[in-house]
Amino acid sequence: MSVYLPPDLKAEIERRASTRRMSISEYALNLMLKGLDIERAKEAEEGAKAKEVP
Amino acid sequence: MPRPRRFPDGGVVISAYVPREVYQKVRELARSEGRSISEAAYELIRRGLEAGSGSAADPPDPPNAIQSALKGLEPLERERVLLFMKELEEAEGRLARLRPDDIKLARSGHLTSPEVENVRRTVLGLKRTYEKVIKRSVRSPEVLDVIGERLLRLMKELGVPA
Repeated sequence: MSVYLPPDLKAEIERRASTRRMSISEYALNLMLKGLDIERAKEAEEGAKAKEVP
Repeated sequence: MPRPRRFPDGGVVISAYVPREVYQKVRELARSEGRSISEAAYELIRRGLEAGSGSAADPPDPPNAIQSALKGLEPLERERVLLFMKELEEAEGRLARLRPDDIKLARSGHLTSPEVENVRRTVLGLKRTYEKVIKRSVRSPEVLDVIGERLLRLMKELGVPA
């Protein structure tokens, strides 16, 4: 998967990946998984709110 | 065709090798939001970074073992390791751009396309350099572990015998 992003973000990913002894690819995957979790939590929260509204 | 998004300082492309399920989830998300897959992935990465380092998926920065191990190396050794790691990174990027079906076949020892063959040849070269140069000149087990693990993963993906 190719991702187009700003250079400063790539530099940050590179920095964090290197401190975790990971490749950029592995660390980007971890971040995507975390992002998907956040997305899922947001959807669940919105679903719960919609149920509350009569 | 011009890219739909522009970053003020220009953008860069990174490649990530992800499980098929993750790719499908990102694709679904992109479709539901009317974005490209790259845009959706960028947004997820940005959110993941913003979420900070509080979760188990992203533990806080460890003591920078690899950096300190690199500092302990002779300048020439350090240069060799850094160059080798750059080449590893490039090979990982090229692997990420291959078709998943081709990778699956390569893993089982079948070569499918010139692209796969090229990456495989690069990885074989890296393996040779690791055994003949890196392993002999770099004494730090920490550094060797990091490099060795990444090289092994590449070899496994491309069916290169250990």
